[in-house]
Amino acid sequence: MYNMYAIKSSCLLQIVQSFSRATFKFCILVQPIFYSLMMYMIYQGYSHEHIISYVIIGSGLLSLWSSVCFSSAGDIQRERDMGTLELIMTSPVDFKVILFGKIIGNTLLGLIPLLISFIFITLFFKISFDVAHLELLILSLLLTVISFIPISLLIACCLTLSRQVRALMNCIEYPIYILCGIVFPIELLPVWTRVFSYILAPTWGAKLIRSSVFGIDSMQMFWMNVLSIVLVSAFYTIISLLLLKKIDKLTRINATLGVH
Amino acid sequence: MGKIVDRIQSFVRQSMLSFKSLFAWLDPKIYILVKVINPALQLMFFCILLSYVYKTDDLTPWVIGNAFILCTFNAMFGVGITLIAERFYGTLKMVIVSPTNSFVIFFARAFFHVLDASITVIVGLVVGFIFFNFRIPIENIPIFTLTLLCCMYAAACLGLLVGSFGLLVTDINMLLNIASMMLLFFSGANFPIDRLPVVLQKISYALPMTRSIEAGRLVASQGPIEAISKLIFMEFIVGTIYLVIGYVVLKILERVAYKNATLEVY
Repeated sequence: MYNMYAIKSSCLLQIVQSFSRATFKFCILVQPIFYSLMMYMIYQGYSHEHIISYVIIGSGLLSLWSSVCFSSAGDIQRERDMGTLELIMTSPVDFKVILFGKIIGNTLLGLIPLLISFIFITLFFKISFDVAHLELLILSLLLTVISFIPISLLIACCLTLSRQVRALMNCIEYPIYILCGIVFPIELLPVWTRVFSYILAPTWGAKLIRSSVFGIDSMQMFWMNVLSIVLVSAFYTIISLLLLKKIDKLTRINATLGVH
Repeated sequence: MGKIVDRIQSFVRQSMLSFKSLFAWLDPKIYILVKVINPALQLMFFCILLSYVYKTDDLTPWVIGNAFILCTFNAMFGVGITLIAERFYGTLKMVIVSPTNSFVIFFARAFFHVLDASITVIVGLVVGFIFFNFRIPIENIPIFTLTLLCCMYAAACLGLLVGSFGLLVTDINMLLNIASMMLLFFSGANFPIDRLPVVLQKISYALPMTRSIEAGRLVASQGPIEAISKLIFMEFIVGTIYLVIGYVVLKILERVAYKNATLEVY
């Protein structure tokens, strides 16, 4: 109960603090429009399926990942800048719980770019968006968005110990864009890179969303994809929890948590 | 003669200090990640996408476009946050009141960023050469280099203009991100500009980099030298216009800040 209250407070505070930053508002309100427009211009003349798949869904996921990179990754640095990182690490509420609340807040805000991409392209370019399985689409969207939480947690953990967060967070955008088949099929990539694609949750999220929009050939395959995204997310969660334990120990020994 | 040499030395010293102040905090590993690996991945992302969409193996035009776009990290962000960085470190008022010509100070900020941006672009071109069949005739390398430098100059001038607004706003990153996205969208790096409505094509040609990218593509395809020269010249003019506007905006905002005593207000 106590932890739930802390998660809720951390989440609400994160949402309010994020919205106070102009750059964040740009990331979730303006950037999806730019990405959608750019993808539409690139895919102009392509089939309706391509437009839905890579322009609407793809640009929404691009913006979602971008907002995750610059919010979750930058949160630790912002706490460090404000001088509150040591305080939240040593507070009676577990650091994991506070971090979890922040990440939930960021992920909820990350839904906004998905919505903006969808509304902008369908209204502005008058693209019809017919969904084959609406209930499965809702499930797919939920699972995709939830799968971003463990990834954000993992990134936040890795960057807690780094002093170069602002430089590093720019470098985690494009690997995901390339490997996860967000705006082009992963079959274009060399076979050996697909191993990395399949251990990234956004790859499965994109597959689930597309199959629920266009129709599912095999329900068994759909549920296998659901299982894959759940397993991958669980894997990240376990790694993050182990890392957080290690970080807690290292920061106490080295006393470098608040060092810029 | 001695005075001229002194001024040149002062200019170079200023440029170096401004550049080092931004990147001194990066260690070599981070520098390689930010300046080599990330630009390489950005170029790869767009080139893989465009090879799929345009169904072509000849990606030279798209490698050129996206390689030139890589300069925005230095040319926009590196140059654009200079004033904000001065304010953050408490040296802005000293820069403003110094006896040195403020145009020289202003322009010196951009100089080394132009050179550093060129390195990033070269990284992109090398990646294009290795993975995406980018080729230009060897005899065209000098004019290609000139096109590249002109592009960096024009982009840096836009960065200076946007950076001037740092005296007015607290979050210059948002403006720089908008400018950077506009360059990515309007410059023709990823899709032909003629796909845009006519009105928006005018924006493309009002922004820097559009002409440089076109010139670079003409150089690679051994297009007419007159057309290339005209594009480079126009790009230089566009960049200079942004530089002059940026300087005028800076002077106006300085006066406003003097009057309202808000020079160092966050």
